Amino acid sequence: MIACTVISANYVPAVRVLVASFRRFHPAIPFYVVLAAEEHICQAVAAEGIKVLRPDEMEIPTLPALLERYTCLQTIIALKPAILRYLLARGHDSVIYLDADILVTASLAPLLEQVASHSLCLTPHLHPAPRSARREKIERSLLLTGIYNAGFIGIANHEESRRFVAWWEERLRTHNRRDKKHGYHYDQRWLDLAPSFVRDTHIVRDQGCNVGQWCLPDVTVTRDGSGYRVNDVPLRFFHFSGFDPLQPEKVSRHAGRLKVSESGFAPELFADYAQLLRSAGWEQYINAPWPWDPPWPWHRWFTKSASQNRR
Amino acid sequence: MSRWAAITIVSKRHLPLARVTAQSFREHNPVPFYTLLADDEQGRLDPTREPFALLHMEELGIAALKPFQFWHTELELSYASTPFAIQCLLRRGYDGVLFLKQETLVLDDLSPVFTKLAEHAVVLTPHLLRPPNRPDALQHEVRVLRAGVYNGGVVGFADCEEAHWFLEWWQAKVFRRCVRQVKRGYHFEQRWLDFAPSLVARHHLLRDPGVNVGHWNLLERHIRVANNRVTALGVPCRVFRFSGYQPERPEMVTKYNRHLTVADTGEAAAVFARYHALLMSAGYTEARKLPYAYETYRSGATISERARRAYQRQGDAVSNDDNPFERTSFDRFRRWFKMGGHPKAR
Repeated sequence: MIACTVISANYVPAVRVLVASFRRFHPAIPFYVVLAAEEHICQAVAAEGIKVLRPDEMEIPTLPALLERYTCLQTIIALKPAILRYLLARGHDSVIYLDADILVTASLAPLLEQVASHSLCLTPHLHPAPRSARREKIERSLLLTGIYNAGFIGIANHEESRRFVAWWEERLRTHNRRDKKHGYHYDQRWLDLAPSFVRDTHIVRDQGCNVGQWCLPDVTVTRDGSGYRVNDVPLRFFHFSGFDPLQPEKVSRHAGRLKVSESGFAPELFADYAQLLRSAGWEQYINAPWPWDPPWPWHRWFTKSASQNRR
Repeated sequence: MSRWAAITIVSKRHLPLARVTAQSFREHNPVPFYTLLADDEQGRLDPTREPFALLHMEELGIAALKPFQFWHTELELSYASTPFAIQCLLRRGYDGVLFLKQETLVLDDLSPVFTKLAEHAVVLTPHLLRPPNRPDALQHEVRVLRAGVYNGGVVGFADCEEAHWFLEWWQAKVFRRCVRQVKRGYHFEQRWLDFAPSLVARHHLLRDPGVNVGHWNLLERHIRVANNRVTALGVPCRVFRFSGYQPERPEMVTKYNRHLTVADTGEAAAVFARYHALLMSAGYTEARKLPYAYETYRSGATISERARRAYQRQGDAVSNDDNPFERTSFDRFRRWFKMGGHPKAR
């Protein structure tokens, strides 16, 4: 078992928090971080005891074209299947991928058991729950953005899962874009095909895994003596998608003006996470440059690879 | 011994499709076959002479039936009725119901499908079983993503709490809106099936290449015909779907792909010829001329698409026993006049 994530320099504080929270419960599992940043940042992070991989170490033949074609966010996402492929090729029996904006709050042991025994594990955005107006709105939007959340991938080293990762990487090489109208939403929309392509796809039904703003208002997160709980099950990891620690009162930039105090989420969870991020150096890294930015803003529009990328 | 049933949904114009499906199904399966008429009989058919048991819309238990029939077009109504029809049969005491969309030809025994239904709440057929091996693979995958990962043409539901919960959820989704607007994520009733694996724990994805062969996977399934037996990828082909097939243009596989001709499909051409002959002998040409009951107001004036959508947009303001078919253009004029000529008056 091995864990990994992919970040650019501005997410270094988030990954510090993630790795620390993961190690608290699973000190024996190595955590690899693919860091697409300048050399001195990679060295600084590696010096903290985090296993850092640079994108050029992952045997991606098309990396230069990728860096030229894609923005920072697109590149980070396109490297996701690459790190999975790389780690599986190195013979690890199972790999989990976690987005950098995740906080582990309890032992993941039940989840890791499922990952080890199935080719592919996915966490759906929604679990069965009664109908409500906000839920229907989210259901409609998920038709365009994807049924399964791409913030968590669990994969075991089987023939079929390796083939799936190779297919996913190939799709993201050229079509990692946000164009919901035409059926693209970065890597996530492609995952809808995973249950068709991988026979042994397992859908994680533990409500405590990968909780995020999309779960509202079906869930309430509360805190008791032993830790956080989601609707009576332990909260294993929370996905702070779209959360900005400089505006800690807002749940997410994807959830409009919804305030933490008005959501069903425990305010301590958000306050603690914001505090953790700030003490990990959020303000220091927030403006870290993306080293592969084009020489001038409209460059991508005029280069050859970009015109192939357009519809 | 479990009790099974199968069902399809058609309007009067498409009755021959249901006849062919029913006959071919009953030839191989000792299971009752129902047809929901998403239409009104209008004295144009004799249920005793049909090869299926006839169900009417009134039997589905839809509270707002008239509005439901009004705000969907002919095709949308037959698609939107799917979860209602399935649940109606489950409530009649069947242990499992297999839904087959119109334009289906059953070529073999479907007991492997019913066996799966005995163990699971929902059985689905994915459009693709592996990444397609063709030059336009990426475009094809995106087409599938935009139309729905699972095909709405062959779906099975067992009589259990989970299946009923999902059916009711599905009904709520398609009750008011069952349109094809792929840019907004809607593809009739089919897109909503994408949620099934995440909402139903006991679901099963049927990976038999012989079930649900259609234009979306025809070229990858290597259809062979020998001694009147049809095989797909070497296994018996059990359900062949003719989605978008137009008997008026027998050389085309489907209206959804203008590049795919029957001649391209190799031995499958024999299956198309057989289906064409069956449709013709089931009275396809005559049935085309039958009227659709919900095409017009009671006064005989045609209901425009705009009127349907406008009524749909009224949403919860529509009461269950409202009968929009009673309206006449004079009613609209009167309402418009009462509201002082406001352009929003409908």
